[in-house]
Amino acid sequence: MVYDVLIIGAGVTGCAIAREMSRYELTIGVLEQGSDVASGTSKANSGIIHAGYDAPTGSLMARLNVTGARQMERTCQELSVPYRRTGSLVVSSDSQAARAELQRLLQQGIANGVTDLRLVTKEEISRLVPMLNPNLEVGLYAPTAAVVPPYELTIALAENAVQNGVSFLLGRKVTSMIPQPDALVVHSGTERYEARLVINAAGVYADQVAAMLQDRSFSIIPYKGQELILDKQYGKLADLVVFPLPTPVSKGIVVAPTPSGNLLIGPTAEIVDNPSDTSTTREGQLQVLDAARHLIPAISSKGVITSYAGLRAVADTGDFIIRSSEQCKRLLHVAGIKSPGLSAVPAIAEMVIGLISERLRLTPKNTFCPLRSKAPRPLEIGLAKWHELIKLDPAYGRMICRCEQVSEGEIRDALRGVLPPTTVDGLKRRLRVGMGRCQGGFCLPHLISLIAEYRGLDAAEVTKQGSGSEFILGRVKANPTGGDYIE
Amino acid sequence: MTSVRELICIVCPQGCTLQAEHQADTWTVSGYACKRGLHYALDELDAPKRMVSTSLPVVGGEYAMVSVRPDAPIPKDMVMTAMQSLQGVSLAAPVKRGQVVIENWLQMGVNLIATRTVYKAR
Amino acid sequence: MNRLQVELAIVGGGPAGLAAALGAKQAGLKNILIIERDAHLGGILQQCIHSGFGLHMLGTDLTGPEYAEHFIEQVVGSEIELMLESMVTGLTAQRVLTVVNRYGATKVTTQAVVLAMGCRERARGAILIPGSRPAGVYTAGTAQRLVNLQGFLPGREAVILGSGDIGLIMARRLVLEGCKVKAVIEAMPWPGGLTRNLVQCLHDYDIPLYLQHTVTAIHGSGRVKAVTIAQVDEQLAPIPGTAFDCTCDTLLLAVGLIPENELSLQAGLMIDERTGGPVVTPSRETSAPGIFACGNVLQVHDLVDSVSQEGLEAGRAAAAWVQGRRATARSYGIVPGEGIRSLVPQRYDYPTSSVLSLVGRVTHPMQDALFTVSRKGVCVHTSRRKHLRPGEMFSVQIPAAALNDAGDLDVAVREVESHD
Repeated sequence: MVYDVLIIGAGVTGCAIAREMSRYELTIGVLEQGSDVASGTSKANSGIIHAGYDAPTGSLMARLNVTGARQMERTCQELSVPYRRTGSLVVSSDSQAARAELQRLLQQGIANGVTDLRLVTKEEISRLVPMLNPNLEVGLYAPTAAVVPPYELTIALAENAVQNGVSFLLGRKVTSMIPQPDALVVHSGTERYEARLVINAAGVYADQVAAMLQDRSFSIIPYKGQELILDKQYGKLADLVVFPLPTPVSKGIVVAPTPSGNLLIGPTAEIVDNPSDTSTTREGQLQVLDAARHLIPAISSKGVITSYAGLRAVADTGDFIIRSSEQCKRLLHVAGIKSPGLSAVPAIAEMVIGLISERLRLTPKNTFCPLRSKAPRPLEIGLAKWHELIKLDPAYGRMICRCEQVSEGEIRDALRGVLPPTTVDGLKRRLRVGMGRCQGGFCLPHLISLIAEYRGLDAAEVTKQGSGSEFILGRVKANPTGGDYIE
Repeated sequence: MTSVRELICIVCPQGCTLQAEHQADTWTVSGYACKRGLHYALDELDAPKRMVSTSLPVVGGEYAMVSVRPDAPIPKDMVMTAMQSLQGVSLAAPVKRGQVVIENWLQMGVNLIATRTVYKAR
Repeated sequence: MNRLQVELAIVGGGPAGLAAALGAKQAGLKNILIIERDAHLGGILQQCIHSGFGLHMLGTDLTGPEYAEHFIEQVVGSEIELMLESMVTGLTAQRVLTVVNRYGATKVTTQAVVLAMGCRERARGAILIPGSRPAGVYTAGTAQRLVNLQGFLPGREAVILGSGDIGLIMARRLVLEGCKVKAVIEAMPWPGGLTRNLVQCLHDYDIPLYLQHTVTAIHGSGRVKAVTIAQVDEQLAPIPGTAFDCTCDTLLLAVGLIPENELSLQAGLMIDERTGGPVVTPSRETSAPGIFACGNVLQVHDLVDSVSQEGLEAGRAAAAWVQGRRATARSYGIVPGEGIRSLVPQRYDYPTSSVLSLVGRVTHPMQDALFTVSRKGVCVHTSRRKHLRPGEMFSVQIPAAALNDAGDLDVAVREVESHD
């Protein structure tokens, strides 16, 4: 079978493109090396929808950020993904240099098309963030900024794409590509796929994918970002996203509320050699805590419930790379999608449609439905409706995850969904099970059993994040030779 | 020939450090705060015993496993052998708390008993 | 929505909740409800299959399940109502509970509530262990459940961080099932658990204990491959140059317990930063009238026997409240000072005619220690102890005669010259 389009990488970029393309009569496949979508950079994203004043005017980043951020609320509505318009605030202690920098950001934001952006007084700052370090007296307020759950958004885009006919080919790492006259052949180990057009959305591996066709026009530098998540008790310390003044390499270590009511602090910005190195370090954790406490002194390491690191895919060109390969016109790069990539994603997907329309005939599909059919989530519908739901199906009244209050019914629905998770981490990213304050201490044994039951596996085959990450390494009193049976 | 051993009493949370001196076939113990410490040391030096517990699989039960223990402590040097002897052993539901699972377990003079009730699966 | 009215609702059917129900029953309450999340009563005792329970309360040495069944049988044999597989999702200061189970959502209005939700384990994030995030990192209690109740071995070669009782018990448990326990790591200069567990669980099986060490990194992409261990200084910061790697496929975390106080916070109860549980009076009444707390939700206990004892007392006090016998005295603070890590109760009533019993933990091990209780700078009571260890709870009884005036009490403990 020949695909019209094969997308390499099921991060938020690849999934958004897949969903956007599923509006048209095309045969679309997504190749992903991980065992699930959102298993690379997208799962460790901060989830901030930036207003769009950071990127230099005229850059792709600036244009797509501002457009994408405007579209994001509607995208989230269509996909039933939480979207919290918190606004954001850049703060600094008062100095001439700080005022000049804020002024520069303001002017750049206006030039980029950001609306409602304004400088704020000390009084307004302390009204917006009462717990802020009182020494931070000058600020730039962007009311249009928002937060979303990045992995949930990615999964929702993918699920909606599946509903509209896209095939996800998970656990398949692209190993080589060979151009042919009327198609590009993509190999994943011994498997062979043919596509008229291939989209390189491979994140930190995008330069390696390009190099498979001798395209060395850019390279990707993985920038590690370590982040910490604080308990919901700390979620009220900031109602909006608080940034320090940006540095040349990043927007700095921020304090951000999350859609689930936790507080996120981070990320660091560290160049790493290995594009799979997502380990955290003590130095990184301490740096994040120090910087966050500089913004909001009430932040404490006591509140931390988890820490992780993600890798930004920073292109050496300094901007997003969204164009055809010089070496092969059948390969389209969507690379270097670093921050504000998440914010820009709806606009990136639209831009890609524009580019492929030059090469493929796009016929709108009249069966396309932009709405994700989402299984019921009791916590989102209120107690009275939850009660009615349980009356129809008692599984919604059997609670499995205490901290995030997730029922067996929801877990069952996810495991029978259009893009069912195969791992505990996959289930976590769909339902937040095990993401609360106990970090799965109570529910992990239940999750293992439920995944085994619904996927027809032995518990010893259930993994955290794919083969090699099994939880159970043996059985108590197991005896392969049979043994006694006492009546 | 004199040999000296140091023990930590495990009878109560105080955890006294006991010194035992072996001379002419008798142990002399010092360092205990109460008589129970002396008895513990003498038992420990003569024939140390330990309580052990484990779980065995249950077939057809409301639980996958049932916990078991001997009805009295067993010789310390038998602990690993005793545990290994249970490899491959499983029980059929229902199991009642106190039910003897193995009589005179490994001829140690103790019975292995269930420590919880597991009814048949509904 | 379903509606239900009871005299007393008890949240949690573990050892604290079971004892509270029995205490209230004995005190004459008729209309008692236990709400339990699990399908069975007994709480964490179900998975604590080792012995050492009941020496104080029942005068005999039992395993956890046996100890639990002793109480469960009394509860099931009485008219105490049970709501199993039911989760309390809400609690107000007016003692209205929201319960969700397979029959729907229920509003339970009560005259009194006893909180007995127990505690949870601190997880990896809470202690910020850096490194990769592979499978094979479990809290000790999760591993205990997997092994003892489900019959699953979480690994073959383990390192255990934390020498509290759960860590020690799991070290022995894994060895008995044929696994290798390569080391138990403890950041403090002294072991966290009871001495008898140190002897029976580590010494008996030659498991090395590294005091003043910690795990500074976890390695492995799919499954844990190794951990880095390093010595720590007095501030518990790793000392450069002392790190070494230890290969293993499993890391168990026994790094402390945290009272489960989400409902207490919802109801707006005053929380003690030291215990992590509600602030209570001697009858274990919280800052919300008619809401009581007992067991590990109030303070992390060392022995289940003292959990049961506290449950009985809280149950009786809740019954007295329902029956209209309510304290009218003013309450004053009990303030922990030097040498005291935590103290319960945090308030006492004045005037009072009964002995004030304080329980708590010390900050570090002490020999020949003296407790001093003072009011407005004047010492009103002293009490000597030969040994004190942070892993074991102390108790101090202050006679009513010493409480002959109003005012906050300051409690401290320090080592003194031995009189031997």
